[in-house]
Amino acid sequence: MTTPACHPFQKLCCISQSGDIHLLLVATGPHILSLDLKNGGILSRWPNDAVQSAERRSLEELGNGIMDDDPPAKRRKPNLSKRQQDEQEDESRDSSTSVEFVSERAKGQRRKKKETVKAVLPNVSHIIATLDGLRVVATTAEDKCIRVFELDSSGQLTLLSERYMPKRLCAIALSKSQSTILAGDKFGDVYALPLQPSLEKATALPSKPQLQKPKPTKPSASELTVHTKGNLEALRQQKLQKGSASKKTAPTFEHRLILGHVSLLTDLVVGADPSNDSREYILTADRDEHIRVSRGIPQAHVINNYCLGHTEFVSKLCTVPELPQFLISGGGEPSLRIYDWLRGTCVAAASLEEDLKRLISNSAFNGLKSSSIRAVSCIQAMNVRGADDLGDVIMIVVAFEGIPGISTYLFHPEKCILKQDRQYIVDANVLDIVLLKESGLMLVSLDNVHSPLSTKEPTSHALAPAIRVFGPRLEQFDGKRQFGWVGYDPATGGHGTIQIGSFEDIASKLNETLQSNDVRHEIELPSATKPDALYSTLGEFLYGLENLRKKSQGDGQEQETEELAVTHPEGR
Amino acid sequence: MTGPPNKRQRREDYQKAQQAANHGGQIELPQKRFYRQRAHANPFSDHNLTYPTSPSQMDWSTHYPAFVSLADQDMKGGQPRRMTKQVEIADVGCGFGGLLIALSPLFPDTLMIGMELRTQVLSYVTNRILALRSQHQHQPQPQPQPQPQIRQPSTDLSSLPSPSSSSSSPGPLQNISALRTNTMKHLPNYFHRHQLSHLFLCFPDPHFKARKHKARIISAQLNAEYAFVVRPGGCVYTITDVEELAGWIVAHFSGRKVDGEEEGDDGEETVGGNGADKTKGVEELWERVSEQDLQSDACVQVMRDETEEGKKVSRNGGRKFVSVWRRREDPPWPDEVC
Ligand SMILES: C[S@@+](CC[C@H](N)C(=O)[O-])C[C@H]1O[C@@H](n2cnc3c(N)ncnc32)[C@H](O)[C@@H]1O
Repeated sequence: MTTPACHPFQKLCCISQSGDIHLLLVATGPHILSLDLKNGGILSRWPNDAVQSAERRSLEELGNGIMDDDPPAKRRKPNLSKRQQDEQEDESRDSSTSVEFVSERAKGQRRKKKETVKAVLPNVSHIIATLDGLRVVATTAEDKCIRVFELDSSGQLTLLSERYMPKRLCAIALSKSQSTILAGDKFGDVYALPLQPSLEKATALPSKPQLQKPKPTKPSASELTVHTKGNLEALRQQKLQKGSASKKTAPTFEHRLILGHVSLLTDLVVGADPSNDSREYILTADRDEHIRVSRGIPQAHVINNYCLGHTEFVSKLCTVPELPQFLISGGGEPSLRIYDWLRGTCVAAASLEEDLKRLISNSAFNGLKSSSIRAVSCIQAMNVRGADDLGDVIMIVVAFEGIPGISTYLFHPEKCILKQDRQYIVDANVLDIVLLKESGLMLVSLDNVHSPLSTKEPTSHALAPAIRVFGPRLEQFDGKRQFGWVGYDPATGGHGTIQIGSFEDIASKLNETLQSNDVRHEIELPSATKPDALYSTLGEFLYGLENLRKKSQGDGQEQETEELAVTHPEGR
Repeated sequence: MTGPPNKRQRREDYQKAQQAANHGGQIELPQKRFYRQRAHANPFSDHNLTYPTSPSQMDWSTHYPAFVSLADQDMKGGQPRRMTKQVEIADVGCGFGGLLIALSPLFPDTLMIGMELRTQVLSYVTNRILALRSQHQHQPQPQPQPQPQIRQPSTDLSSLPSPSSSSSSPGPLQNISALRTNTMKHLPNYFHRHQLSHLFLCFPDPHFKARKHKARIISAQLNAEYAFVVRPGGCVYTITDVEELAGWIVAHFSGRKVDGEEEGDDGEETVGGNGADKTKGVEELWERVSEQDLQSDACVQVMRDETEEGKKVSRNGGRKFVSVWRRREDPPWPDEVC
């Protein structure tokens, strides 16, 4: 093909600054673009070429040690028995640096050798903005960096600070005051960092990690205190390692560990106490089905309660400012649950399995096949008024990983009724969704590189990266006026009846802009992967939720010990 | 790969025989050698664990049949049977169960649960408790030896397990049981907020290497979770024979660094309380119980002398470091202070 493939828009972020400047930020691979939502024009692109080449150099300098979570490859001692080798392998697995809550390797399977770091820019994994729209916080995946930008009214992004975190980031949010960044990582820890790095504590920009000086270490145990062979071996090694340089790096800027799960952190939101303006809470979700509600900083070590009930990993959390007492959560079952989160009670829940099946069968054109279990990958919600006698309801928009469609739900807060509303089919997998509260527009970014319903097969025809725009409409339905969306099809320009404003202009201009060469980030199409792999390499970055699913472990020692059933005392 | 297959076979045969015997009369005490397992289980693996989605879904009735509410003998609508008592004492990483067995007569009306990650070890404790219960049922009840030193534990009176008349007390050892779980992940699946009066962390795995410290069962992050399940006035009891770990424990409950610990060392931190500024971390939820109070606390003595690890350390002539931490009230919200 002549046109090279381009990176899709993996993340969207809408900004309304004071006045009526409405901007859209989109992440495409390592770039952040800002677009004017009034005319669909492009305003800026970060990093621009100058920044880019500087970055590239510094990335090369950083090299392996920074890009890598893993300890230096463990050498197998040839003189150890198989048993001892296994033990060693196991030790390396439960070490702090190789803790991985996902993708457990089968016993004896060696960790893949990391490829040498190519001079590629790190991909943007999250973008959020302050309420006033003047600051933008973005994280990048490979270099685990938090960057803060100034966003001016012309849509220009200016980098203010870069902070490299110890572990890959899974979620970010801002405290209610908007002055603190909360960042959760894949080891389950949540850090608080001032939005504006404090001067005394922060190193000058850029704050690249530095190698720590080796410290004299003294073993913490003596032969007296260790009893097992394994521990004795560990002690011996500890003594051997004495004085060897520590490769560990510690951030030098102000950052505070405020809470931690012993699990992979999947999402994080800040909840406002509906009855007390000055109190906020931090809501954190993990791979082990938990949602934790902690007090906001500086008391995040006080756990208020848990919101339990998910039976698979929790993948997304969402709150609605107008009805702050409710938390919407989605998970891998897939399911949707609504909590009165301060009390820890689930007020409504729905299994989404049937809806997902319907989405799949409605979108499975051309004989495409798909596994029928997919996790909730995106939840957006907004308050919708005026739907006749129902009063205020929450409109919840849900996307599933690797599915070319959207399912919507209505939650009625007084009656605590949650019901399925509609489904919208699009022509590629949904990656991210934003709702524009004022105009009611829904923007949906689509995966232009993978075939619909697949997270690894390349699409048969290279598409331009795309954002679908849906306009709101009120329609008669069951004798009631109801809120819904109507999509704009860039190919035909066709649409349904629109009653609120006109959005086709923006839709067509946005799409026009997004086709232009200035915004494209060229990539190679995902090449065919191993037949049993779930994701292409790019798919791992764009999706990856299935990696969180717990597999029942195969054979091996664990299995052996599992077989023996435990008899419970006088089980009846 | 584990040991030679015949060893494994012998173990299975033995355990099957044990189970078969359970259906007959008195149960033999299990023999430890058939329950050996490697010293560590990785707390970060998934382990095919089963656990309740929330504490209200937990069925305790099979653990404490003598404490099932008489009004609720049948399962209703898939809800677990109601109990006359809640579990109030947890032994985290209970190992072979020595602590529970020794504590049982000290708090005869309080439910205690041992929590252990290793399967073999757990089935040993379970079978041991079963056997002891059945021995008591089959023997003419010997008067429980008068405990020479039943002294009040250091816990506040208000937080003590609710007393009940000794006449209604069920048979010995009916109040202890054990289950398999990874407490680093699943404590909130078993216990409601402030449910526990005592939480024991006896001879926790030391994880000597710095890069394995994240696997330690005491950390700033986990201490916040212990504060969630332990009620104000209740206590976390710790004991270890590793001096460095003892310092680590003190540092993580008190927020004070002890000798030899360096800030920023391999990225460990105290939650919240970091560096020079005055912000308090998780340590504001705990206060250390004084040496004096510990002297009169029967739990401390049990922890020292009745745990399997405690006995082993005594045999080896090792030292034991005890620290007990009382749960404070939650701090006032910043808006309540000014
Ligand atoms: C050194 S032993 C001490 C046993 C017992 N407390 C004693 O004093 O005799 C520590 C125990 O904690 C268990 N353990 C370690 N991590 C655990 C976890 N995350 N959840 C439950 N048990 C754990 C280990 O399997 C081991 O049996």
